[in-house]
Amino acid sequence: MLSDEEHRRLRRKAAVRTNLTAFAFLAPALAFLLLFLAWPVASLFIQSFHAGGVMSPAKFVGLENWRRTFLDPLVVKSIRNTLLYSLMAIPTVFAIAMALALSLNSIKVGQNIFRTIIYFPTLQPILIAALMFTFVLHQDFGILNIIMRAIVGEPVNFLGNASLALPTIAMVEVWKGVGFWTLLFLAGLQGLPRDLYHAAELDGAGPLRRFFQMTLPLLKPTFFFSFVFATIVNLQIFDSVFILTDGGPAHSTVTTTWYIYRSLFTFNEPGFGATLSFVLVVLVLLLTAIQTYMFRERR
Amino acid sequence: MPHFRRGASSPVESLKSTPTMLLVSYVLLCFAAIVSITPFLYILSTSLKDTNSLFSYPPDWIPEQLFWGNYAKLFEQTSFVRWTLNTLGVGIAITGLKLVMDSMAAFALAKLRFRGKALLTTFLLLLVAVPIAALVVPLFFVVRSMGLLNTYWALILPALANPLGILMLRSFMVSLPEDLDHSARLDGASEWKVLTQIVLPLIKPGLVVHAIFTFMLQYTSFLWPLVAVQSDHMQVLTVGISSLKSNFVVDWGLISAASLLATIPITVLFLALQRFFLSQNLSAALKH
Amino acid sequence: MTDLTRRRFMQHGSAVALSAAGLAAGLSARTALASGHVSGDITMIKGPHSADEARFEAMIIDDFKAVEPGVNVTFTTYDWANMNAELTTGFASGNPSDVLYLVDLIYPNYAQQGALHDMTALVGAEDWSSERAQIPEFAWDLARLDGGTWGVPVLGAVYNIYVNKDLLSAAGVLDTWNRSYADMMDAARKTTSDGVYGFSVRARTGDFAFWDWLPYVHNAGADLLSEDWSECGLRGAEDATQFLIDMHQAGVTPPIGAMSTQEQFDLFKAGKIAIHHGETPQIAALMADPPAFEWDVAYAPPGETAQTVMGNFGILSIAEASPNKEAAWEFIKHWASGPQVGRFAEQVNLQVVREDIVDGMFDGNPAMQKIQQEFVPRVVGIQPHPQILKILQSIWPVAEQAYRGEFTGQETIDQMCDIINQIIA
Repeated sequence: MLSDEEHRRLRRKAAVRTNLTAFAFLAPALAFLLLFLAWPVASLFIQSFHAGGVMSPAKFVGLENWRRTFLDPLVVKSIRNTLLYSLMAIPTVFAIAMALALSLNSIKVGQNIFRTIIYFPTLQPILIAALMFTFVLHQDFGILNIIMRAIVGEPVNFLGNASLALPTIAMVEVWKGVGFWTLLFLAGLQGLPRDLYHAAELDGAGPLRRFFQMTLPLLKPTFFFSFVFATIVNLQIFDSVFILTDGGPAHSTVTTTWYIYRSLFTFNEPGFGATLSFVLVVLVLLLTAIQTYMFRERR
Repeated sequence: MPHFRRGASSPVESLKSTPTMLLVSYVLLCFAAIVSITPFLYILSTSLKDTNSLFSYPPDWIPEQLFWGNYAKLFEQTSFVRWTLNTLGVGIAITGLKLVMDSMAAFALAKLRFRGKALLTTFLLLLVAVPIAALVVPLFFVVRSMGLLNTYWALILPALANPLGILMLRSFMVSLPEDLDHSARLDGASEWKVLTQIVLPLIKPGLVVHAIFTFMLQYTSFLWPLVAVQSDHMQVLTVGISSLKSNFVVDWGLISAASLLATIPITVLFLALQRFFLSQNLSAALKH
Repeated sequence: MTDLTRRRFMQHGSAVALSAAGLAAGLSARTALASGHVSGDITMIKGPHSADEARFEAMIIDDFKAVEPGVNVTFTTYDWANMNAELTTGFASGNPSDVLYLVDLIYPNYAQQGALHDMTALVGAEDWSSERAQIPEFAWDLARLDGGTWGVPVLGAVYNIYVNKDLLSAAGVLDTWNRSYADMMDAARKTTSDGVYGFSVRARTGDFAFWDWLPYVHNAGADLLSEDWSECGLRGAEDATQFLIDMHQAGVTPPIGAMSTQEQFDLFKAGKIAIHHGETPQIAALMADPPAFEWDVAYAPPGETAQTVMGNFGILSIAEASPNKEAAWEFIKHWASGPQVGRFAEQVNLQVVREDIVDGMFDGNPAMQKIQQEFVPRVVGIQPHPQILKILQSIWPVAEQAYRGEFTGQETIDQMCDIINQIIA
């Protein structure tokens, strides 16, 4: 009995010690996460019931910001544009990146050089990418419009056309993002078990069948991570919108983050901006949860 | 189907490809390479021209005479060097601090037993899904209440709060065999020793990948640095270059030169470290 | 002071006799300044009007050093595209720049938030009265709001039209193009040919496209807000807006929104636009690298009630949080003094607000002389309502759709008024 008691006490003591050790290891990172991530999310919620607060003291306004959020047609439009953009950009960038990763995986000579060149756009700040695209899209000199002239006979008004502006922004982001996802998929491909492929090849499975019946299913964990991460990143689209179109023409490229920025810094309405931010956080969490659920189901 | 070679000599070596597959691969890759590089050539050309027009009619893409004045002006009349140093300094500080903190936290999550571990891991996963861009408003208030607006700390500290790195390093650590650290503990090593002398050396590729992503994220960030600091001498490259653009008569040659030079440090870093992107460890980590 | 500055100023001024009053004012300001009774470190923030802004500011600061050796002035810039974000950050940090150059578009909001110092007592002081009198009353009006004076008006920026005289005379419309809107339309049509556009205005939100629309609104006797700022004042601008819509639908402009204002200016410089809406600092680019055609500056034809020019003004303000408002005020007086502001305006091709130095300015720059003397008196600025920026940015997307042929002038104004009334309600 006594030894048992002692045993338990010792074990408890050891448990306390490991708990403390673990806490010590976690403390620095957790402190920053709580202060600069968890608390801001909580305070978004609090702020959504207030007005002002940047240069003048905050003032409680009840549900006013929320009422505006649900009535403002631009909020709906910004969410719609953000989702639409993600729906255009993510599948496109994944398809291209997958094709390039497969290509890189199947060549031996020049893999390094191609990898570096393809990754190059990812390394550019969007500011510089936007400057590059000013040239690429220009009515008279842009390489894309030189091509369009050759094909359809006349240049395309990429950023000035309300129905083309958002796809154009998606195109810029795809250009910038392909390198990242290519490398990620390539890493995934190279981690696949080789023996399985050899066996499949012996069985006479062609490259297409191998891809659809083996590669894709095997890469599922990579895809899961990629979809979730891409969703989080793409729903935050701001830089390229801010620099290329500033939401125009005619609000056709207004995204949620752009509207948050404008509310805070141009219109000086931090409470409304906080409400919108909270909506965005919920939206992202919701979509992430749905994706997790869908991947679980099919597993 | 042609014959294939058994027992590939290196783990990275791929399956033998058919000639058609090879041809298709190279065509695709060449096309991608051209698309990746072409926009950059426009900037290169503009940076070497003596003009403040973005476009001259008719265009001369290959300047007859190379003009280096834009580069000279960049160093003499703008704070370009300062911006670069700020960017590198802030980026290195963030990367260094994050490597230490994230590997410690990842170690606790992967290798230590404690109460509430599952809960904490879920909490971190939830935090990953929080869009940082949505936090500009409250982050601004937090940093202000700490009295850090318009200081280098305003650039550094908030960037440390990103749970993705912890989870990534945790994946690397989980994939290490348990026996290693167990036997070290039996030999009386402290947890700190286990982390620094056994675990970290084994996940070096993971640390490098973490460092590159962290640095890259910082290098390309624009929105937060824009609002967090105001003084000219604290600006980072992205904000600094954007301020060149705001002059009423835009000096495109200057901006192009700045943009071109700004790509150099990060490209060099990538070239030096890119082999780590393709280690088995990275793909292993992605599976967890 | 600085003999050097005075000499430089006198060189410019010598061609035309300086008015005695102006000279006396300048001198009395000198004596007021020369007391050297303030000290400390202050900072000034301003958006750049030139790539060489820092160099030009250093000249002003060096001269100030001679008058007030105890004051150290540090100059920083904000980015025009992000000025609100940067200024807000500064104010919110509790440690903003002491002296701020603010445009009429944004200062009202900061004033209303209590971020700016009410300078009524400072500018009303007896020892500054002669200087104060050099700045016309309409400019002071732009700096006043809610009973306070929030800055000293120093610079003006005029939005002018550039014309390619060669294209206009080849089409036979050089003398007629700006008699009326119909004539302008006719000129635009006649000058448009393969690769050459008759007419261009800004269309992109990011380019502050509303600057090019507003003179047409003012010419029709309308404005964003009614006289007492209680409701939308755009009624009456329907036809003017319809005219601009028609221009865009007539195929005489570059594809709508395809080019930034800078790219349009490149096109004008290449001789491919006949009538182009731009800004005066671009004159420097035309003079440095003269195009292969005759060009001139102009303004829009007369509308129903007036013939106006759009312009906006910059004021020098003091942050309420500044710990050294005395030194800040001394520096503002120095910056706003005739020699300093005059030299700066010439360097960057902007207009000055004070009237005493106008005559001698812009020697060898006929375009700027014309603008300062003929255009500035016609300037109708914006109404400095605290929400004016929000109003402009909120209504502009309607115009963007209208230019693309989706609304008539009537529908455009209706929708804009709905938006404006909602904002100021």
